[in-house]
Amino acid sequence: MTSRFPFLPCFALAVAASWVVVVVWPHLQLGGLEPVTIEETGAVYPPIRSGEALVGAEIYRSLGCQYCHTRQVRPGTMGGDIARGWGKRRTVARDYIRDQPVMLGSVRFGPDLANLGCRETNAAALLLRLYKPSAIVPLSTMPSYGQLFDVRPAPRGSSDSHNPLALRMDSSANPGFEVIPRAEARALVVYLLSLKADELFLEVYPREDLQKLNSVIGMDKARALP
Amino acid sequence: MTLVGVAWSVFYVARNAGAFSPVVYEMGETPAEVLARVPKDDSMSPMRRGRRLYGTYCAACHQWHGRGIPEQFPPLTQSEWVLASGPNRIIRIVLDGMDGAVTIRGQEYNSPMLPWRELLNDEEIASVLTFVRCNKQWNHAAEPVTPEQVRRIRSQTADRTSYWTAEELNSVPESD
Amino acid sequence: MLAVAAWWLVVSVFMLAVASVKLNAPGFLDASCFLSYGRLQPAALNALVLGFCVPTGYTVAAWGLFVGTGARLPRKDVMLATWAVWNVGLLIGTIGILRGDGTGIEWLELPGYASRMLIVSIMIFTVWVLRSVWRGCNDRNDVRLWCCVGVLLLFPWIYGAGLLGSVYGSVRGVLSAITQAWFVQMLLVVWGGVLGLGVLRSCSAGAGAQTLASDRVERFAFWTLVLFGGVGAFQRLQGGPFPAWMIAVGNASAALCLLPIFAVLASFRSTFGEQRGLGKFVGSRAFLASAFGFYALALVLAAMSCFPSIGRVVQFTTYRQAIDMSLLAGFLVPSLLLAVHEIMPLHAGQRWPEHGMQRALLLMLAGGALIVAGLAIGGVVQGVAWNDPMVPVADVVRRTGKWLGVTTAGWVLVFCGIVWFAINVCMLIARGFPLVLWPEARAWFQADIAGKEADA
Repeated sequence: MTSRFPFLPCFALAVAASWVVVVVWPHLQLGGLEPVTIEETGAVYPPIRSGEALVGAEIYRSLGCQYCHTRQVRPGTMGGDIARGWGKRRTVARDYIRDQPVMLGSVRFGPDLANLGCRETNAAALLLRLYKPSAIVPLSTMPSYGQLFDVRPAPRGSSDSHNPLALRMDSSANPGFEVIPRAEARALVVYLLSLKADELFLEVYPREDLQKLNSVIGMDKARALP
Repeated sequence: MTLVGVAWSVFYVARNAGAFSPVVYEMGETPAEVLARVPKDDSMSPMRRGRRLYGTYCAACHQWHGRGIPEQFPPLTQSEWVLASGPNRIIRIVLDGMDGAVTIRGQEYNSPMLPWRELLNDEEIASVLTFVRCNKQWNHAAEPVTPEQVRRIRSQTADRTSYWTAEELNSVPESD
Repeated sequence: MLAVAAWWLVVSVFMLAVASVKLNAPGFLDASCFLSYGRLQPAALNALVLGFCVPTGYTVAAWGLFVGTGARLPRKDVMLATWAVWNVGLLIGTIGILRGDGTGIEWLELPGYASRMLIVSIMIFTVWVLRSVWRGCNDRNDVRLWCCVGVLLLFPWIYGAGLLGSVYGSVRGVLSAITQAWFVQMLLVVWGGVLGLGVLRSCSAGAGAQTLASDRVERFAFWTLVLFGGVGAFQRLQGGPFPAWMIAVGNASAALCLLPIFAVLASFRSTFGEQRGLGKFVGSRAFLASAFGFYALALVLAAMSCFPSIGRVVQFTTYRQAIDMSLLAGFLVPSLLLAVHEIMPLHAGQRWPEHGMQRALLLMLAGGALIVAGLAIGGVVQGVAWNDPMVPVADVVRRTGKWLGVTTAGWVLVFCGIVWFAINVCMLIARGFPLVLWPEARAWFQADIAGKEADA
C-alpha cells in the first residue's frame, strides 16, 4: 500500500508471529502426546471410552454443559479446587487427548466435573440430578433437563412404579406417574461417570509440599461438607 | 518504559517458563525437579509391590480409589480399621476374611470379605497392608506392616476355620 | 445491509439479556431445551459477533479504504451477494446452535455447514474490496489505511485458522482449546482493537479537524498491539492443563499489552488538548473517552489477573466474561455504532433526528458499565466463594446472584439503547429511500442541508 514502508509483509509477519507462538508451537510440542501405561495396573490412561459414553459426550456438547461446568482442576497452590475434593491432582494436557472436542469450560456456575466419576459412582443419583436438581441440592441454580426423560402413567394397579429404569423419587408431586430416563439421559450419565483424571504419571507426580497443604487444609474441610 | 517492560518480561519468562518443557506445569519449576519426583524403579519396595497386589486382589471390591462402593463394599480410605494404631486386627481380616455387620465412618456395611490365607504369603500380605496403611494419596500415614507380624498372627490363628466378625475382632488388642 | 446487522444486534442482545436472567432463575423459560442457557448463550454471542460486529466492521473498513484512497466502488452486486450468503449462513448456524448442533468450542460454535458459508463469503468479499482498492490506489501512508487493510485481512485469517485448528482439523485434546483462545484473543483484542481504535481515532480527528499528534506514537501502538495482543492469548489459559511456559509467556504479553494503551492514551490526550471546546457532537468526547476506557479497562483487568494472588481468585469466574464483555459490549459495539452514526447520513443524504442518537449511545455506555461491573465484582465474589471449601456449591452462585442481576440490568439498558438506535436507523433509511430512487430529490436535499449548515 505504501511506497516507503513494506506494510503488508510486516503486518503478515506480525500476525504470523503470534500464530506460530500460540498455535503452531504448542501443536508441535503437545500434538504427539501419547497415552501412558500405568505400571501397577497395566491399564492405559486415558482409557478408551465406551460407545455409549461417546454418545453421552455428544449430548454433553449439544446441551452446552461446558458453559456452566469446567473440567479442569487447578493445583493446590492456585485455588481451592483440590480442597473442595474436585480432584487429587491438577489436570494436565495428557488427560484430554481422547476428547473430541475438548470441553474445558471457562466459567464455574457449578462444580468442576473433571473427576465426577471418582466422587460419584451412583448413576441413579446423577439421573435424578439431571431430572430435578433441586431434589438433591435444594437451592441449586441448575436448570432441569426434563427433555431427557419420559413422564408417563405408572402401570395400573400399582401406586409405585416397578419399572427398574424409573427414577426413585418422592412421587407425591404427581402420583400415578413414573419418570423413565431416555437413552440420551442414560448415555450422558455413562459419560459423566467416565470422567476421571486421577492417575499419576510423569508430569503429575505431586509435590510433597502440595500434599501436605491439601492434607492440612483440604481434605478435612471437604469431608465436613454434606 | 518499553525497554523496562521488555526486559522485565524476558526475566519473568526465563524464570517461570520451566525451560519451555512440556512436562513442567508449575511456574518456577525446572524439568529436572519434575523428573526427580518420578518414583525410582525399585520394584521390590513394599509400597510398590503392595500397590500391584492391591490392583490384582483388592481393587475389584474396594476400588482403586479406596473408597469402596456405597452400601456394598466398605471404604479403606480414612477407615478406622485400616488406620488403627497397630495392624493386629487388619492382618486377621486379610488372613481369614470377615462377615457380618460392621460400621465404618458412620456407615454400616454387611457383605463378606474372602480369606486370603492360602493365596498370599506373609510378605505379600505385609506389603499390601503397608500400601493400604501408608498410601499418601489417601492421606494415610500409619505404621507399615512387617512380614514378621503377619507370620506371628498366621501361626497364632492357624486353627481358625470361620470368618471374623466385628465383635470378635474388637476383643483383639489393636496393637501389641 | 446495516439494517440486517442492526437486527442481529437487537436479537443477540435480547438473547444475552434472557441468558443472564436464566443464571439467576433456573426455572425461567425452561420448558424447551432450545432455550437452555447452554445453547442461548453461545447462539447470542455468535449472533452478536458474526451478525453485527464483523459485517459492520467490514463495512466501516471498506468505506474507510474507498474514501481514503479515492478508489471507486465498482460493483455493488458482489457485495450484496456475499453478504446475503453470510447472513443466510449465520441464520442457519444460529438455529443450528439452538438445535444442539454447536461445535462445543466457545466463540466458534457455528456448526460446520454454516461456518463454511461464512468463511467463503468473507474471503470473496475481502479479495474483491482489496482488488478494487488496489486499482484505484494513490500512494498514501496513513495509520488509518493500515488499520482498514489490517481489519479486512485479519478476520478471514483468524476465523479460518481458528476453525481449522479447532473445529475442522482433528487436533488432539487441549490443542483445540489453545487455538480457540488464540482466535478469541485475536478477534477481541487485536481485530477489535485495531478496528475500534481506528474508528475512535478518525472520529476524534474529524471532530477537531486536527492532524493527529504523533504518527510515531500511533505506529508504536499499532505494532505492539498486533505483536503482544495475539501472544497474550496464552493468558486466557491460566489455571488450565497447559505447561508453565505458555502461562508465563501469556502473562508477560498481557503486561506488555499495557504499552499500546499508554501510547494511545498519550495520543488521545494531545488530540483532546488541542481541540478543547470544539466538540461538534455534544458528549462525543466523553463518549470516545469512555469507549476507549472500556478497552483499557479490559486489558488492565487481564493484566491484573496475572498476579498469582489475584489469579487464584478470579480464574474460572465471570471475571473473564467481564474482560470479554468490556471489549465487546463496552468498546467494540459502541465504536462501530459511532462509525455508523458518522457514515450513514453521508450516504442516505439525511441527518439524524435530533437528540435520538446521543441518548441511545449514552444508554448503551451506561449498560456496558453495569455489565462489566456486575461481571467483574461478581467474578471476585464467586472466586472467593469457590476457593473456600466450607461454602456449599449452591451458595456460591447464590452469592454471585445480585451481581449477575446488575449485569442483567446492564443488558436491558443496552437493549433499550440499541432498539432506539435501530429505530433511528430504520427511520433514516425509510426517509432516505425515496432519495435513492430520485437523484434529483437527493441533490435538492443535500443542497438544503448544506444551506442549513451554512446558516448555522
